[in-house]
Amino acid sequence: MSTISLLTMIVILSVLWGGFTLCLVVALRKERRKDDS
Amino acid sequence: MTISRKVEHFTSRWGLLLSVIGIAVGTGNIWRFPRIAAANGGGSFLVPWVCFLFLWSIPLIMAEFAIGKKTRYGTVGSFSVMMGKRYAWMGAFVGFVATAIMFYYSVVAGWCIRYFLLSASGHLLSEAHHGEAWEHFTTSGWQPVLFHVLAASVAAFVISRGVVRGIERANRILIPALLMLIVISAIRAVTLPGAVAGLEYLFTPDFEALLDHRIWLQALTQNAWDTGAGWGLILTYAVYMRNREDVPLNAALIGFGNNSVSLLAGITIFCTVFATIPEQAAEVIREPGPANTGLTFIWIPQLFGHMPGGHFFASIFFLALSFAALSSLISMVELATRILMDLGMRRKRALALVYGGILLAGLPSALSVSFFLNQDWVWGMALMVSGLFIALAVITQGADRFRRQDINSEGSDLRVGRWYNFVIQFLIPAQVVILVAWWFWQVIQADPGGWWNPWAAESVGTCLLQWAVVLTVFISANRFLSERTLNQ
Repeated sequence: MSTISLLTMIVILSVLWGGFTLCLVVALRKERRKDDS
Repeated sequence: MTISRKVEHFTSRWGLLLSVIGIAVGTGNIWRFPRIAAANGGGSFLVPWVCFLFLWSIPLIMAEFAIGKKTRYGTVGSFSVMMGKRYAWMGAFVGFVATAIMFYYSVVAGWCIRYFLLSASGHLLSEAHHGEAWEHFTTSGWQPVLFHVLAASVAAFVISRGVVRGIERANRILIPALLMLIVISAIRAVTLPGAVAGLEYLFTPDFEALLDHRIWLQALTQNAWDTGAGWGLILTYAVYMRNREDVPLNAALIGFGNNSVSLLAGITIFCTVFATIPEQAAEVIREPGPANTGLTFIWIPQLFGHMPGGHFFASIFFLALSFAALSSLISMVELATRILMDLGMRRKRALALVYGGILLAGLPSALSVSFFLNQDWVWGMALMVSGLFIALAVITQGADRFRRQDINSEGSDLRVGRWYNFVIQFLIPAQVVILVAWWFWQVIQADPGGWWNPWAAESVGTCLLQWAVVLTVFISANRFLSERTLNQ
């Protein structure tokens, strides 16, 4: 696999799956805080 | 300000999120995305496709969440509250577009169930000619009808159980199972010998292609059709959100989640095709077939036939496809049922009417692929108009006020900045106008003599005629719709 393809794959996967994971982690933390209060 | 109406609520944020992911993740993620990505330059397509996630999908999902949570009405009541009683017809149009799609989507869900049953029983891969088998199935008459009835019945059963015991419980099973099945398929696909060629094809960018406007327009179209943004479905589920529920973070989660699933499906399809038939791969992966079905129902069974453990993986693939179709179909049935409930019917009676409507109105699509294509073209295009109407509902309220009061409302985990005002006021209407004009222009160029013909399956004329009939009916019935809904 060429470097440019690998780089594109990493960027796209980071944006989408990274974005999803980040949102999920924030949502989990916020939800726990709402439940505590 | 939220309106106080007695409705059932999702029991938790996760119940709501899984149900809305069920709306967003449909067959379009699994069978349309890989084909469109392949036909539009692979890696080059992914860049605008990710851009439009932020410029179309997420802003519209936010708007739908906020409108449903604020008004606690389905599409007709929502537009009456947001824009005034004179505009109930806009909500009725948005609701009708999703309902018209539901009529033939039930047929699509039936195809998926039929292929799952065939693959699970071991009969699918033993077919000698998959193209002929598909043709025979779709023209057999009774078989597509039978599976259409089965799909509609499953969706109606779920909706008959209500929001918590029906929609939420079904999606708590369907969506985690769907995600697991897609992950298993993807892992299998990337570990096939030669699969790396598929990844190379999918992720190699052609920077010159980024200057081609068609790639940007196809990327926007894909976002408009496969995220469920602007359909009115998310608005309907948002009616059942708890008051403490967040809007912006949930919208971002749905957008990222939906496109992540599409990419995973793309990786699965590209790796499978390139690993099994490397010489024909580039050609096969672009094969549209009627309504994008060529790759899924003709080529995928052949590919699995070449693979060790093909029966098992074909069953997993078609089960995932069936779950994706059913979870979306359930939301469409709920949208139509909610509108009738807002008009004063009880759930069971409203559902009986909707169920009868699907069975009858879905019949022509089950019996005739050309009728199916016509409906897919007409109401697929109308989804852009639905997106425009939702943006107009926000604009009427004042985009900045809507953002501050209804998106950054009670329970919000994120604050949405002023960029949202610009996107919803200018970018979304501009995207709709450009996209509809471009698609119509494509049709006019492809068929200069017949583009106006209202009786052709995929013409500008048939689109405009059917939209005009539906709009005339709803504008005429506007007073009845708004007063009946708001007086309940």
